[in-house]
Amino acid sequence: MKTLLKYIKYLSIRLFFLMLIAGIAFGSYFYRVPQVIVGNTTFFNPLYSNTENTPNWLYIVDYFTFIFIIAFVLILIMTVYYNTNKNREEKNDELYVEIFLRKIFSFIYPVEEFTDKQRISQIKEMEKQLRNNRLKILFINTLRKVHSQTTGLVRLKTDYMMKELKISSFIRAYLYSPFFNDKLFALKVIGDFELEGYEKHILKLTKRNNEVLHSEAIITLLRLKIYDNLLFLVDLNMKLTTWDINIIIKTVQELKIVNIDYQTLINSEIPEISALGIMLARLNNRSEFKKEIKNKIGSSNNLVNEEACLSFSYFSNNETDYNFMINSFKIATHKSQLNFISRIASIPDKESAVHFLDWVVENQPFSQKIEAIGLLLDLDLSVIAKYKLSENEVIRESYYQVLDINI
Amino acid sequence: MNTLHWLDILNNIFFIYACLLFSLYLFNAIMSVFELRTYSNTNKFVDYKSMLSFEKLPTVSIIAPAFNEEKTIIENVKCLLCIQYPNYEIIVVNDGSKDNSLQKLIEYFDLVKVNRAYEANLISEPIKAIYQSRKSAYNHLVVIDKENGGKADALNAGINVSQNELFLAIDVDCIIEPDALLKMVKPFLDDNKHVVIASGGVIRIANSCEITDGKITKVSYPKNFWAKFEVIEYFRAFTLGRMAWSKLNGLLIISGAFGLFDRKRVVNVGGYDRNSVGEDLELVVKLRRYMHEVEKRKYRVAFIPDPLCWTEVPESFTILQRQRNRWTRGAIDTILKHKRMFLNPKYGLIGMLSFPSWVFFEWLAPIIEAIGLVYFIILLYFDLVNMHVFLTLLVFVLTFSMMYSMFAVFFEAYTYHKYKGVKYLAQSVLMIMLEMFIYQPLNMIFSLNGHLDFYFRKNKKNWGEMTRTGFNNKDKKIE
Repeated sequence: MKTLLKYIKYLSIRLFFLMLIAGIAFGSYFYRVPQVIVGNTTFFNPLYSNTENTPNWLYIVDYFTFIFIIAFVLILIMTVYYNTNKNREEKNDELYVEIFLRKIFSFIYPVEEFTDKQRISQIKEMEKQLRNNRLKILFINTLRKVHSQTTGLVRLKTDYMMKELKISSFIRAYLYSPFFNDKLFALKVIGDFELEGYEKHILKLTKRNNEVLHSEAIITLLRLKIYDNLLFLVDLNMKLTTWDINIIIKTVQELKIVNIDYQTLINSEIPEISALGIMLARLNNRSEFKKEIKNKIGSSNNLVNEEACLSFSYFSNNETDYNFMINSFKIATHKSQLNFISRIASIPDKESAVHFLDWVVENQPFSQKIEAIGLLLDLDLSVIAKYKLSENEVIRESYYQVLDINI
Repeated sequence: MNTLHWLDILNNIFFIYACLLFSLYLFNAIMSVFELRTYSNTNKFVDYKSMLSFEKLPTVSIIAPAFNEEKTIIENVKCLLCIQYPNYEIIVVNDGSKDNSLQKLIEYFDLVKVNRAYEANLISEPIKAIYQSRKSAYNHLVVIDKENGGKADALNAGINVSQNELFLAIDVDCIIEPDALLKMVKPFLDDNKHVVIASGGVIRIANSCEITDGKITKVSYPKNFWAKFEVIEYFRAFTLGRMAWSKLNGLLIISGAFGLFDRKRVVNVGGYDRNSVGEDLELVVKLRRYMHEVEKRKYRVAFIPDPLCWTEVPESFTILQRQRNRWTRGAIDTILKHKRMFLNPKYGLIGMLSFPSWVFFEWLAPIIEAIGLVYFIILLYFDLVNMHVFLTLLVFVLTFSMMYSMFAVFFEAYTYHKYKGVKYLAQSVLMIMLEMFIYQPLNMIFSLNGHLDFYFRKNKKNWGEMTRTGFNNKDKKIE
């Protein structure tokens, strides 16, 4: 029923605008003719005597002037309404949030521990106060804030509160609502409180073309910990944005998800998923996937190439790896080249490292020169002395920058 | 053909021009509603603070050119230091100030000269010295002291010294919201269909607002007569105009006071044009041209409708006149420089819609308005004016302008609601009515003057002096 009401509201808004446009179009016709007959009723145009002799173009100008005046007055009224109403609403919201916070905290930290019966009656009392959707949303958002900032027993209590509130029909209506914002709100609540029973619909939402909805649905599924190997991402066969990758990584780390199928992710044909797999492997220190990551170095996709280089240098621990890094230096992205430089500087074969860094100083862009000179400072002071007298101004400047104690 | 026939043709030209202009405004209003709706829907639940712990976030340099800003420079830099972002540096470029701007910075932030290396990829006046602070709290502050060369030149010097992926070009006297950078960077992360080359934000007016510790603490409608008009004008320009062009991916300008750019691409196009006084417009047009001609990839210039940057606007007639004159000269310069884009399908929507609309409705508008006025006076003199038609058209224009401005005010109240109170509303309605008789005609004169300066006088590249009241005067209020 609640979902149906949402749809009625959704359609009414659109119908209103359609009627408005139709009304304006009809008006422009009506004022140009003496009368309009609808069925058995005749509507006479009281302004016909004024408009009948007006040239067409001037009539249109007149008519639009009339529309603009009406629009101006309506907009002015709406502005006054919003301005004053929003002030009141903001103040009311602040008051309600304060009340809700007090209630939530008195539930979480009671003076005396509640019995089960008391606990339920407390929640029932709260439920009664949430008379309309606006208050429900305000309360849920307040609870979400407390929930997200707490852990342990307190978090369990906010979870309990949410589940006992009996608002599943409310959440369902929002999740199935045609309004985009409602869906997002429902997804947030479901994800934060790990509410069960909505998985199938959320999985459908992950396949939506709307990027925000798609991204939010993915995060909600992650939070529900049903698909914690992340393989559903491969099955989705959709590109991820850098924003998505960041949020997924953040959520995986926050929830400490461990069952990730790194191999499938890394080998995915979708570059963003592959990059995500590589990043997750690095962040979770899964060096057993070094070989797969190595194979991705030189990928035509910049993101995959960069992440593969960064992760490979992170996992590199033997001479073969170092030699591979030196050999693939030129195909690495600028950022990963910087990473390679600092990694290669730490190899046991100091002579090769110095030789490589010297090559970087002579041939690479200046940010890499600075990095290399800085590393050479620890490795071999005798080498860097020559940079002071280098004919290349950038090398000389880089040298002075590295030696400047104020930087 | 007789004279009356010629007059008819002229009348029709003026009428069609006006109809096109109004249609464009209406179209802007409708488009901006859709764009703002999309933006607010997609970002309503975004937790920007979560970006602070993102794994992949571009590094940013904030470049703030400063010229004779001693009154406000310390407060402004302190405000910039409050920005929330994990990996950023602030580069203040002292563009040969004649006052004590540099000395104040050195003393307050305990700056020392450093040997910072940089590659001079872009042409700029020589850098005399680079300073960094000895205090760790200010370790991401860099001050460049250079010979005077103008704003574009100072920005180029800043870009040379910066090594980050993106740079935010700002006016040093602006007040930036702490989460502004996070919001500006987001479009660079959340679009996998286009390459985002730049993002711009809404500028709001800080005159008469209360400012504490470099932050806006209370938003007030300006007390100054001219600034009141400018508030309405900024609502229209940013909330309606730029939002609409952003929806179409046809935005040609990102305000010089606040814009985030892809550094590498800006270097590739040769940076800011040192000879232009409309360097902000020129850069965006140049970048777009580069994307069409060289990279040939799908790209986007994003626009953030959130009020993220607050600036002081001219409060005196003379300074306002100089500012508008400069804007006009900058626009003409850019249009002429990139005239091959005009109605050129090779540049897609930019060539066929955005650029022509700049030409017709920005460049030509004051000229056509002035010709129209002179034409009307001549007709009046020869008693050729049909007063009924004239009054009808006059009322049409006035009601449309009022409705459009009122819609901009409503849009602000509905979305961000920064200005509050019935007194503000009453004043803004009054200003909307007065605007058409005072502010708009004056703007037309200022723009015409800009045209004359550009074509016939010799101050094409002169910025004109802009004095600031300063945020800290009179109990931290701009009066």
